[in-house]
Amino acid sequence: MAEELTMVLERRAERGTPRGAAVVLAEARQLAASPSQPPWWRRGPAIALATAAVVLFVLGGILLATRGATPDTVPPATTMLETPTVPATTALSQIDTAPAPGGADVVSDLALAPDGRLWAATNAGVVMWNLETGLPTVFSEREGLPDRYVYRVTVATDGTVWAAGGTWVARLDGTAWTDLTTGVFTDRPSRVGDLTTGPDGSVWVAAGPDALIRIDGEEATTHRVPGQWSNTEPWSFSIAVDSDGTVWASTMLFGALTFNGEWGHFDGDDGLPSDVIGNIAVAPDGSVWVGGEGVYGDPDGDVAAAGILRYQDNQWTTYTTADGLLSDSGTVTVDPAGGVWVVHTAMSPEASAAFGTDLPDGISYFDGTAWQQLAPAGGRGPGVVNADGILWLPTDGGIVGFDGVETRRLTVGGTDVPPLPSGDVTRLEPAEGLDPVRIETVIGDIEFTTWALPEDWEGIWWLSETAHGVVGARYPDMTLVGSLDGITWTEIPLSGVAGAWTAYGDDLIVFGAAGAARIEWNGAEWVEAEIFADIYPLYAAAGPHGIAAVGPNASVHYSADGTAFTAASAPPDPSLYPGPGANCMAPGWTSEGAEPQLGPIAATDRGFIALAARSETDWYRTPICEPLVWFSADGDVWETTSDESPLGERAFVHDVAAVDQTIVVVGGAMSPGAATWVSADGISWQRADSDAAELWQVAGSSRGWVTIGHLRPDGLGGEMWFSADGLTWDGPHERPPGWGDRAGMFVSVAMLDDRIIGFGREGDGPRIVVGVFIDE
Amino acid sequence: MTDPAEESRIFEECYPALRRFAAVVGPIECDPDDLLQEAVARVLRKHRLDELDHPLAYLRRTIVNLASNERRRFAIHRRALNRMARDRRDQADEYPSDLDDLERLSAPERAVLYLSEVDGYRYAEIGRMLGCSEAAARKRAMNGRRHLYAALAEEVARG
Repeated sequence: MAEELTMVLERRAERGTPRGAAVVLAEARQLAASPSQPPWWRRGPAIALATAAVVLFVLGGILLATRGATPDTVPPATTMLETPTVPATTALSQIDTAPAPGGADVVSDLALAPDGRLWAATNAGVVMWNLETGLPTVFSEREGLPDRYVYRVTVATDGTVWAAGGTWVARLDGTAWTDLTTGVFTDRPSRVGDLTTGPDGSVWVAAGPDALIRIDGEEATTHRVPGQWSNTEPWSFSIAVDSDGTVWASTMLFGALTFNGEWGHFDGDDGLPSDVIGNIAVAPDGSVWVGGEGVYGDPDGDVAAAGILRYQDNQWTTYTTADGLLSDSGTVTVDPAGGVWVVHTAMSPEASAAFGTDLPDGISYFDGTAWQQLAPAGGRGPGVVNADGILWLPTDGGIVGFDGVETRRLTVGGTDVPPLPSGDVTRLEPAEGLDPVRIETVIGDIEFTTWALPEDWEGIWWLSETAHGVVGARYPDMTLVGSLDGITWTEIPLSGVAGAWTAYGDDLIVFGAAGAARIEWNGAEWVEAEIFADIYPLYAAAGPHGIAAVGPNASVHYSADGTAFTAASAPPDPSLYPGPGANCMAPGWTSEGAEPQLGPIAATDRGFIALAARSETDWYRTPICEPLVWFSADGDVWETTSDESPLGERAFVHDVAAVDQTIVVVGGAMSPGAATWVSADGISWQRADSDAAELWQVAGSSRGWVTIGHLRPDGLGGEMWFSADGLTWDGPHERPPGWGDRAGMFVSVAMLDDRIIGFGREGDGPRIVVGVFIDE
Repeated sequence: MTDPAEESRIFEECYPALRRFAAVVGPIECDPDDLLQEAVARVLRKHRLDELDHPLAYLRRTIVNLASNERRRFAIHRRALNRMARDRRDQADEYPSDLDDLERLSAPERAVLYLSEVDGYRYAEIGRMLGCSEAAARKRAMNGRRHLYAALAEEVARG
């Protein structure tokens, strides 16, 4: 018999016709140069089935080629095999990986952190999602991940994040990953099957070929799976730990295993309807749930899924379609509130035909007493359920959230921005030296990230708040661009170059070369609706009392309803802001040729204010030296609030902002230095001296105020301050990287209710900084 | 620096043994060269062949890992094909039955058997090659033999 065995092995070893070392090596080199893919089992049943279908084509092609089959002998289901779509010599990995390798939106696994953040294992590293803001943070090899292809992620009870790839396990220590497979593990796993955490904070790893590894602190202990249950590689794809610390594992062939120092085993003899089972999960009540797996989970391909299983009180219960399940096959996700979600994934038509069965797409939900059938969510299980009761599922196109009725999608490439804008869309890209989405700076409850502008963009100037994000002028072509989040920007097509703009209700009023245009928001982007006035102001502001616009040569216009503009009947008297002088002039500067200027302008609940230098203006428009404050309730009739500048002698203004009734002005005085002023009516002002040498920009929203400037008299450095009332400022805080390290004239800022968006242009190049308020 | 010529030389030397190994360890439907090519590609993504201390052993191990996956996958496809070909009686004779019997074994079992029965390695050596203990290698060989002898005995009994 031994001789016969050797002979069989020899014959097997000689099977096929060798292609030769040179050919194999050349093709292997080509393969190696192409991006690698996660294994098929991480890519979901749909892909596995798609793979099956494709390989079926190939296999059929091989068979028919070998056998010389004729069409009349081929049953209908195999007629398609006559023209295999992939050459028979194509390497397996090429057949196996139908979709192109994705990035951070190709998600394999999800985990929820105690702080509510969602962590995703993706093809581009680990992505942390802040579900409150919808902002992702990507961790990649740059932070020490051993590989960008991450298949498993879990978060321990203490908030520590763990990730696993094909053959490695890593832990996030602060902002950097530590690879535990070098140093902590005694052997590198041949394959990591699953990764989970226990109630005591320990981490468990199912690793091939037969290891169950417990990581506690810096120590890893390996327990070997008994040989009769470790005949697959790896031995388990799904493990979970119950409240007693018992590890539960589903195997591909041998039912469920338990480990609590001793190994236990459940199979058909113990009440399991099949030894082929799906993923495993532990519910808050301690019961263990097991997904139904079959057809494509069964190595022999002929075991139909036998239902969803629950183990409780030493007893197994099987739920099937007879109990209300949509299908007997599906993955289980337990809900912290006690419910159970089963995600069923449909078979492709090809696979359905090949396997002679069909599976529906949808979700079954168990509330503790009965099953309810729900619509498909568009993702594959298992997923996670957060405190809001939303089921989050991985997909190859981001993460979908499903509340039982509606779905939302999180994608790194754009979050919930339907429909797609038709204009040119630019998502800011990574910059050398800065991670595009990593949190660079945290100040109080604001998390700042820094993004780089495209090479041909020199900046986004004059950022302004609107009802739909911010708009600004892209430099140097001065195209108006808008963004909801500060990261994805869309061009706003206009009939002419924009010179000034202001948000008016839901709309945007733009004053440009073609006149005044109304720009409307269509749900995805700004669209020019009409040009309705022939005016060309330099400043404009809109509020409850309409729109006011001030321009050169003392021109002032107003509009009560945004449909037409009228010249003000009593504009500010130009004789009171006459023109050049030297009172506020910095040494070395000249104001020769500068025209008298009115503005900037701001709108409040009460009307409008406009600032104008009382006597002397220095270089062009800013700073506004010793300004008088002009007030108008309607934009038509203007009057000055005082004979002298209410901001004081030799005061100068760099910027003004208004929110509701509050007006905040930033700038300074020739002595002693920078200052801010606050007023509720434009008449009486409160001044607050600042530590800054100069303050350049201010923005406000319902969240408060931010001003940016610098401490050093030489203009180097860059700081920012925050304030709830515009008078008492918290700071200085060093600005996030890229937001201008010198001379605040290269800075712009706008403030929305949930975030601060700033442009800075210094050092490494033009940057956009996005600060998001985190509500605890 | 990568030395393609040196890498090619190493692969040329290893190729006959590796291809035979892949032919045994891989599923019967899987072209041995495809499996070998995939294994080499996986290795080349992280290493050059000429920087491996034991390229033959390393590639063998990779082949076993890949074959373990392929076995599961192709088992499904084989079953599906068999379903579609139920009316085609000649389908069952696609491969010699004794070679098909090897499909009853896992990829590691086939690997151990091949390395011990054909190439004549000792179990301690096989364990080092495949990343398992000597005892595990011996156990896999025993399991493989038991499964295969049972199958061969059935065929002998059927005549």
